[in-house]
Amino acid sequence: MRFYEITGVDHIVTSIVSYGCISSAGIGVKKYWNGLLNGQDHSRPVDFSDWPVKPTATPFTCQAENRPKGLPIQTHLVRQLLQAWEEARANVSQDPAHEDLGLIFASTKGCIEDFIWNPQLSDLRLDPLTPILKEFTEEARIRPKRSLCVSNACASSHSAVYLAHRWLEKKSVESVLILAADFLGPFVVNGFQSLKALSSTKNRPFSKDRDGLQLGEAAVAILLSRKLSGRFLLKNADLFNEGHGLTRPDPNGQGLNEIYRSFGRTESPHLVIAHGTGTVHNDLAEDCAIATAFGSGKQGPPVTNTKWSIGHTLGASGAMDLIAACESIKNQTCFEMANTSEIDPGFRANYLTKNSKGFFPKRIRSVIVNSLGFGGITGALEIVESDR
Amino acid sequence: MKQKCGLKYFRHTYSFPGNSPPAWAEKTDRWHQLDAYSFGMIDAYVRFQDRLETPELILLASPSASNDADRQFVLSKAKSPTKMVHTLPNVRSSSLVKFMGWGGPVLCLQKDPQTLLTALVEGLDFLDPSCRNLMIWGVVNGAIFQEGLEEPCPFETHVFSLTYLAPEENRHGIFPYLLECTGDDLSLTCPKDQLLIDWLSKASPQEDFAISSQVILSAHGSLGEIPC
Repeated sequence: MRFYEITGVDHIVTSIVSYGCISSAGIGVKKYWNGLLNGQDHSRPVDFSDWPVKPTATPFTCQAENRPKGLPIQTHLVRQLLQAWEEARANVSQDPAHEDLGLIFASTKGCIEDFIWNPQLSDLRLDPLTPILKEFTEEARIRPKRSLCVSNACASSHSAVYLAHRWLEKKSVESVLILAADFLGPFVVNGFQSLKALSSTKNRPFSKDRDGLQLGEAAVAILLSRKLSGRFLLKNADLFNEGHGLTRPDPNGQGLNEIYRSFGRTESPHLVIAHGTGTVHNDLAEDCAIATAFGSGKQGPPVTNTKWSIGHTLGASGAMDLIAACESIKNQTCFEMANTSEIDPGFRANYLTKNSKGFFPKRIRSVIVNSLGFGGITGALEIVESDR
Repeated sequence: MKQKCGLKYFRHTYSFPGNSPPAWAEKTDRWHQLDAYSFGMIDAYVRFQDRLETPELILLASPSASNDADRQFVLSKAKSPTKMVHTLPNVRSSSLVKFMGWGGPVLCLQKDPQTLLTALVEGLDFLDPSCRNLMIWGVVNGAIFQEGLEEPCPFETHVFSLTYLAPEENRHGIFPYLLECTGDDLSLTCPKDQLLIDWLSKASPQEDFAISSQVILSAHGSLGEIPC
């Protein structure tokens, strides 16, 4: 039975059926969730001994697991995605039918590190995401009705969910499997270091002394369906490119505000999971958007995030945050930003910092998940608890 | 999915880097810092903007992703921040969106060697009465696409403007091409983007172009009026 058939409305709500993940917290959603609840920061120094270009200082990152020496990154990521998919499959009674399945792979850089340091001409002709999509479909033995890759910077997962929501709304498929993954190697780490975007200490989103982000790795599988299934519904998903700048969002959070307006909300969500990179400009823009849309101080919904624990997992970050939103609804509790003690005094939103467990929401039935990326792209998802 | 849309196609060929500032240099911030892809999108927009509908959505089809920019960053010994900022394929849309004074959803898609073909099918599927117009942009380094890396590089910007047509709507004469889906099978049968570009390069194609068994592109209007 479809949601719209039950409710009689023409607004179709997508079900979030199941999910699985691998992150620096370990294999599985449980380890990720427990890390968030217990205030665990999974960062550690990078081993760059075999990198072709060394970083200028030793960065701390949240790497998922050591890649076996010599294993292509393409295959490494596919193996991680297969593990995440296995976890998601374990929670569904029946695999989605191939003829009604859509498949989307979201990533910023895919397997670029496999060839970009010493490329053949043929390597440069083909994007670094599609080989992962193809290898996954072969290894997982699925034959999706439609499939493609999305690379919308750090809003890639949100973009995949946006597209999946559209496919389901259009009834062209019954289910969509979203895969998201990124790998940290010399290209990505040196790149962020060249932008001076990396924290030299710990990632402290929204704090007054925040000094940048910490990179992380994750591989995620999320199964969405048009059938009313499970406890979580994707009520809204939208994107907005504000075109403010290449690497900085509009300081007033224009993109997020446009999206919140498009959601047509009349009530504040019970929780906001912010993108919260811990950079000066991201956090400023996000604070402005959240406080403007949902209220300031204790009038506003509690705001938290995940990057202090598992790092910024780039193209997979939105998918990891979506899982955290569902787990918050499932467990009726949330988590604080354990590395953040003192909020930037200029900020207005209602943040859950270290030792603010007393301010957790009493009931969590709706969660907004934000994302912002280079190139001016912004995205937000609204996840709600099903009435059934 | 049964769907049809009117399609306009524009191609803009240019060399990068150029010898002199573009005519639109004063209308954009630090034009000299644009990479070849961002430059080509604005250059094409300035040339064709009078014939483009205002979109509700932009699909950025990125054949070869940002491999070109990625390689340039590596050649800087992975230290140049100005090269790093271009190493995400969606970033090239930022300058265009700002230049257009437009805001809205931008989705950057890849599925080489069928990235443009995939974007066309996705674009057709997006259209409905609530999304009547969308654009697909794709910039290709001609050297990578066809023969090999050379300096200075020849680039091509491909612009597709798609307009929703209701089943009963008969505005065929307005659009040089029609894109039509007659069923649910969206799996691509055309193996690579280059075949689409070759077909679109014909002055008066005699036969329709099959993207999949049920997604067909056909030529209708006066192609001579469209600058390809």
